[in-house]
This record gives sequence, structure tokens and C-alpha cells, in this order.
Amino acid sequence: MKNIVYRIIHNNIQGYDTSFANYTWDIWCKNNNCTLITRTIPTYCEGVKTVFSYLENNNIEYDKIFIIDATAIVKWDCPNIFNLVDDRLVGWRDMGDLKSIYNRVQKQDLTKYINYGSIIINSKHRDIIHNIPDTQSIHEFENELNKAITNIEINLDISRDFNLNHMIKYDWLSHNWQDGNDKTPFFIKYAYIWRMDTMDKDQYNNFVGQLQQLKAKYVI
Amino acid sequence: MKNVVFMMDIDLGGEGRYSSTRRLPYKYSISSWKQWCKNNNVELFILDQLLLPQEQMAICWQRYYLFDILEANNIDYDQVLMVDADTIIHPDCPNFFEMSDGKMCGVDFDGSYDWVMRSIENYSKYAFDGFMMPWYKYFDCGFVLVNNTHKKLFKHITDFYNENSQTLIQLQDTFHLGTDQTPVNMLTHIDKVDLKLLPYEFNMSDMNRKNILTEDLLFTKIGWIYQFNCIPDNEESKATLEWMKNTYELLYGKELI
Repeated sequence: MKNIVYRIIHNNIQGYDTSFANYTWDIWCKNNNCTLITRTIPTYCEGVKTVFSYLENNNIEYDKIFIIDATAIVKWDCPNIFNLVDDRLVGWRDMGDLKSIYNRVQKQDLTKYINYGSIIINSKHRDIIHNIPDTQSIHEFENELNKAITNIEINLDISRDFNLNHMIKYDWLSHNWQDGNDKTPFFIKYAYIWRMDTMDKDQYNNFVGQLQQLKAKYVI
Repeated sequence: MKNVVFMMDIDLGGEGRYSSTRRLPYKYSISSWKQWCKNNNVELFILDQLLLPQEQMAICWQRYYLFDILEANNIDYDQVLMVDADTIIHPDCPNFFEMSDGKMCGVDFDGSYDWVMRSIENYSKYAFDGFMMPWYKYFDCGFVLVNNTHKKLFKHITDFYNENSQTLIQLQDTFHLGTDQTPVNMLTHIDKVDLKLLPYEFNMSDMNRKNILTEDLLFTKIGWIYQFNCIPDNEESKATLEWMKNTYELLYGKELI
């Protein structure tokens, strides 16, 4: 059974050019013996909720499933993340805009509130995922996801270099401008998976356009 | 043996972090910690005098003599929290000493990685022979919880300063990327100290970036220990004073203890 990378292109990211992101995952999956699935579906929620039925209806065997927003890009030398995880649901805490999260969820424990766009699951989580209420917006989905997993043990221990988010706000596009000639941005040097769903469409397309020069780094 | 909260509040006059004007808000910090410590059977120790002349050792580094200081003052201790005086603790903050698992604890840092990564890279290159630490384990030295098994690390820190003071001062003057914080992070990893990071809510730094440094003091509903740093438009620390005063009065009333 192979591990799966399952990318979701949804209505919220219409107009985002995710072809480079797809290219990076395609190479990465080939190098790490994983199956890449990219689905275009109206809502992110629907994409997540139907993951098991989609795989089974298409006779795709699976072990672990990494569900990720289609705007995310993987670095060419990213280690095989599936080797780092156990059977628990894997997520990453979102601390980028705590006001926004607090205003949406208030009474939940924010220290365990995970971001919607990057989780790793397996067949143990079938019912939990399937029973998430239908939602239209990303934020609603994120809230419902977090409610659904309240009573299960979540693996929050995978380091943040596998889920680098809010890159502009937290200055990850900067480089060491004080010393030496290396102008490589910090996010390229120090993180493996670059999440960019907080960028608007123009920012994203412009940004990804600049990353095209890295294409040669991705070799099978 | 009690757990101890260790703070510094030394009036250096002149300019800088411990100048008389920048110290003005510290009284709110100390009063909040006094009350939390009393309610949690914890001893508060405030260092108000330099151990060594500033010219010999910069003030931020002197706090790493804390084990010697406590022992010289005949204070028995179990665990010690070294905390900055630009913090305010919520009266209902859970007892973090019970969360340490006997390990050294910092708090998940999340702020400007332009600053952090330049700091790590430059200290790495000029003070640590290229040694790099994992950035996602970086902690703010405004909250460091230790016990007596960490004496060796603290001795390493003060020895490191004494052996490399000229380099460290030069780096600080050249790059302005902090004093003790990044070297202490590096030494913690060089010494392979078993480090536990508590959630951000136990040392809420750079709150403005997270959109929670708001007029309604939203941060007081979200977490437990507030560090009033990285505040914009903060000439002569006047904004720090205002935020800390307002926060203290919301949580504890107008009376200082």
C-alpha cells in the first residue's frame, strides 16, 4: 500500500496558478514512492470529506493520506514526511492570526487548534472525517474539523518546517541582508513545505512565478 | 523546597533596557508576579543589584548566575523560572512548574523570522563555528524554566560569555540581533539539553503581529503570560508603560502590591 498526497483545488483558490505546486509534488511523490492525487472540487470541505470514498471508488490502495491545500509547494529535498508520523492524526497549530481564530472559536483550546490545510490521516479517521458537517467556507470547515477531532489524540509534534505558513507576515521571504552574499530567502533555506493560502491570488501568482527558477532543482 | 520565580529589576540610569525610564512599567510586572506566586506557593526573587560591573559582563548575561545567587541567599529551590520584567501574568495562569516533566522549558516562539534567522546565522558564523540549531526550537529568554540539573548549562553560558565577551559585544554592536538570547539557544542545543517547549500562551511575545494587542486587551482572554515587546510607535517605552498599566489594572485593579 502506498502513502497518498491528496491535493485539493477548490473554489476559494480559483485563479491561483497551482501548476508549479503540482509539479513539485509530482516529482516529490515519484522520489518518495507515494501516489499523488489532485482533485478539483467546489469546496475544501467536500474534498476532505470524500477522500476515502474517492480512493476506494477508484481502487486506489492507501496507507496514510496527506491532505493539503493545492497552493502548497514542497521543496525538492523534503524528507519523506510519512516516515516521521505514527497512526495519530497529524496537524499543525495555526498561530498566525490569533485574533481571527479566537473570534471564530472562542471556547475551544487554542493550543490544540490546527490549521485546515495540512493534515495527515489514515483509515482510523474515516468516520471522524466523514461526519464533519458540510460547510462552504474554509473557516467554517476549519472550525468543524477542530470540533470533530476534540476527543482524539492529535500529533502536533511534527516540526513547523513541514508546514510553513503566514510567510509574508512573519518575514520568511527575507534573507540575511546583513552578512555575506547569499540572498536565498529564509523559507527556502529552512523549510520544506511552503503554505501560501494566506496570499491573495496576485501575490501568489507573482510569487510562484519567481519560484519557477527553482524548477531545475526538482529531479527524479 | 519551593519553586522560585527569578526576575531582574536593576536601575542602571542612562539609556537601555534597565534605564530608569524603561523600568517604569516593571512595577506592574513585579506586582502581578507577586500575587501569582503567593497564590501558587512559589517564592519570588528579584535581583536588584548588579553582580559584576556592566563593563565586565552585560546585564542580561548576569542572570545566568542565578543558581549561585539563590544559593548565596540561602534559598532552597526545586525549579526556577527566569522571567523578564516586561511581562504580566494572569492571576489564573496554570502552574507551569507542574508542566515541566522535570525538563528545561521555554515557550514556542513565533515572531519576526527575519530577525531570528539573521541572528542564528550571524551568531553561528562568528561565535559558534558554523553550528546551527533548529529554528523551530528557538525560545525567547524572557521565559526559561530550569532546575538544578541545568547548573552545568548555566555555567557553560557564563563561561562562554567570559571567554568570548569581546566577540559577543562586537556582534551585538554590529548586527543588533540581541544579546544573550541566541547564544543561549545555541548553547542549549550544543549541550543537547532535553528541552520542552510550552505553548505560546505561556510567553506571548510580539502580540501585535498576531493581531491580539488590541484596545480591548484581547490577549488577556487568549493566554496567560504577556510579554510587552515588539510594540510599534514605542518611543521611550511609553507605549509599553501604557499597555502594562492597563493590563495590570484590568486583571488586578489599581493597587500595586
